[in-house]
Amino acid sequence: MREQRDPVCGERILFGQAKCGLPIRVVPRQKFSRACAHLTVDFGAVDRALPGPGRGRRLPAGVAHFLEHKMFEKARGDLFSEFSRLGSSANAMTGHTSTSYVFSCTDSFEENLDVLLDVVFDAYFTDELVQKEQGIIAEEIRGYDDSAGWRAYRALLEGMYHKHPVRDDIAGTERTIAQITADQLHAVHAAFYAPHNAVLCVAGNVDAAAVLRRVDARLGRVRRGQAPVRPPLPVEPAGIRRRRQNVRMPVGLPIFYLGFKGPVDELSGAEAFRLETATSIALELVLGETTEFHDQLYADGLIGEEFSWTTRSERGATYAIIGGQTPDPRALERRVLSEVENALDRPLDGVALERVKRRILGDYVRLLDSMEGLCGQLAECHRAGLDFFSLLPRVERMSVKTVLRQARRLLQLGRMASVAVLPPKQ
Amino acid sequence: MPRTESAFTTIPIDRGVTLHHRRSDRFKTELVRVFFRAPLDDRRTERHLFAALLGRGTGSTPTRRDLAARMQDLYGAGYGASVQRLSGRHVLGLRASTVSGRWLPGRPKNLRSLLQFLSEALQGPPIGPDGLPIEDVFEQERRTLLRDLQSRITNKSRYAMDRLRQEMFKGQVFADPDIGRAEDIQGAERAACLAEGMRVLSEGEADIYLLAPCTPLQAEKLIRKHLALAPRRRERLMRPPLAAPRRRPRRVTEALDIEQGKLALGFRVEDWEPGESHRESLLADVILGGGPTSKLFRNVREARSLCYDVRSTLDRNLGVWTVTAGIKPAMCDEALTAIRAEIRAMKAGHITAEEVDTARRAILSGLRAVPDSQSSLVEFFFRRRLTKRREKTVEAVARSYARASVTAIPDLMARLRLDTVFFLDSVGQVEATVGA
Repeated sequence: MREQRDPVCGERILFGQAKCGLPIRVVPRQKFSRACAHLTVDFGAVDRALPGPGRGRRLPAGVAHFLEHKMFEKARGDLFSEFSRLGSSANAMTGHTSTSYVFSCTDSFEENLDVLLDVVFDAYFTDELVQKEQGIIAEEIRGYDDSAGWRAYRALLEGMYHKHPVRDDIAGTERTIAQITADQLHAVHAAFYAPHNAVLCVAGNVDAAAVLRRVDARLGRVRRGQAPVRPPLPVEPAGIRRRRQNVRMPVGLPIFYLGFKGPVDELSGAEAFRLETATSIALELVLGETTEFHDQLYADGLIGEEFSWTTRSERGATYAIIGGQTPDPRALERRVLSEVENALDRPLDGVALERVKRRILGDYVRLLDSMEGLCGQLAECHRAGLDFFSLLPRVERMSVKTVLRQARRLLQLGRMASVAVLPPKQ
Repeated sequence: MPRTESAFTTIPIDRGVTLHHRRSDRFKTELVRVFFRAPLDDRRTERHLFAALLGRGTGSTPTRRDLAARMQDLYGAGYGASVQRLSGRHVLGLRASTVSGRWLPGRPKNLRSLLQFLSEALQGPPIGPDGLPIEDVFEQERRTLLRDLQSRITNKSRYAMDRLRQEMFKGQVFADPDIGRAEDIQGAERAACLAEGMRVLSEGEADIYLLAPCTPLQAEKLIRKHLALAPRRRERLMRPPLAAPRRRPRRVTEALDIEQGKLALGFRVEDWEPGESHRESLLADVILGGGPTSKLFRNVREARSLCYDVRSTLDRNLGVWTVTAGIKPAMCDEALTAIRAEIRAMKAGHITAEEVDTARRAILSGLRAVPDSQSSLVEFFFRRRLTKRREKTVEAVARSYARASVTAIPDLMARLRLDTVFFLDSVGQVEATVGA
């Protein structure tokens, strides 16, 4: 395996590839008791078609999440229980563009790794098991429907996007999951769950060479599967779909989200990182806790501790979201928009930028102590085609001008939508 | 994998003030936590407001903005103050952490800067010309606390648990959220909050936890220099009395416009002594509803597809066992029956060797992961200190848990009494008794 040392703390990261084509990243940290592994497949909720002519064969919304649930059941039984019997804790998460299967353990790492590889690369689906899962996932969907934050996020994406599947719920709906069949799951698995369409990231008390040997022993020494030809996503208009929405449900205090729709073409990893990071820094300089504006919003009672923002770029859907709980969504919207508009018209504060960079350096060092965080970040970098060690220098090189230019690209007032979750009308 | 011992060196600083130091080069961060104990009484709201004021700033960083900038200058240091209800008492805690300077350009002395900051924080919140907390700041924090109360309904699972507790402990201190009721928060006064908070800081038994790559001697010198706390009396714990369990269980259903029903069952353990049969009760809790191999998960979720989420939690201080599930509203009775059947099975001793083995492994694995997180280490050992448990290392605790006896579980389960069933539904509000 190829070894690289992180330039700040000297931690080792080993890069390799199993014989079957699975890329592997290992961060050995022998002083820790635990080890964790993330096996991330480049297939998520926005992938809604099987490879084929034209736009491919359509898949119902929620299929990636449904598949994630079903991957733990095999002919030999429930593999969640096998993790438990080995004393580890396991989980899986479906996002818009990827699905991750993870475990962490303090013992029997290699046996746990075998189970993880079986979870992801062995397919076993029956109509009976699919039917049983429909009830469980329907309950999960209903649970999310009662989450005000999730409803606001969902409504905002629906308001910003016309056709891009990012506007659909990751878990689908009761109607769409009822259309899922065992045959469909087999076809999806065969198309996308190939070793070279995934990445294994491991961090903690492990030996990198042993990880590679174990993967080769379990998955074989022959390259498996074909590179998936991902059907193109629907063409998304540049503008938003709906400027303003209200969602009514029982909440103690209204929740308000403001969303900015960014470029609709698929960005390269480097371009997406620059746009997301620079915009996030710009928002910190304009709305962050070190600004007078933030102090004033808090003093006026318009925001609480959880007021925040995020930026994301997910295969042709790049957006920024700002918000939190507020007693007066309209007033918060007015104030935030006015501040963002004014701030993007003038030079940003260079001293404040250096302070944010210092915080980011601190975050980077902290990340090196977080096994789960490291695995997640390494998987993201692999999928984006980015060198993990290049992230910090990329941020350090960002000038006030770059930050402002990128932020202006994403934070366009003409491509903005908002959502307020309000209590039911009396 | 090698097992790493995780002891803290305990260094008495003064009467009622103890430093717990752990030298570790495993982490790239340094952590300081300071805890002050107080009795669980009717001054809870004042303490919460005081903690909120402490979190707002210090004499030299009086505004949120100043505080945020100071933390950013320390490479994104974290700081916070809060009050928790722990093992029958209140604990006012301050937490500060930063990246160790040895990893940063110029090797800044971040730990010293952080201790200097904490020393200012322990002088109390910024004070106005009238000698009291600044009025505007106080009103803002009062509003934040009121909003916390108001927004509890937004998280439906948390709301169902709050309501279950309210119903189980009506008229007792445990019925309300720890921050108090709206009228308590509205009625709190600046002078009383300041006086109560400063009293806890100066009189409450104090524990300081320092995790940094220095020797115990260096740690002691640093703490004596920066966080010199005056001597104080050792805590004499006075637990608030707990009313006897209800004789007939009660069922309360509340209406709300929701998609998924939230079922919360509250059981009391008869004649519970705080801290009793700790190992066995934890083992029983994990077997019943502690993860994907628990009885509730396998038999209520997986076998019957009744819910997505179902779990049990034991409050070992109060002897209260709760089971929560998110279910289709029409399935409430079926879920209730299924959950109670699992509890009856445990009472009858229907626990397989595999269930016990898996639960033990889960507990031991969780314990062995404790040393990988600075915060977990502090919380784990501080909680054990509060309950006067003897083991000094995670491995010793693990050995003790490995000896947990499964034969004690049916007796423990036989002492369970269903007290209250709370169901968050959309079908109106009724109150009735249910069969025990």
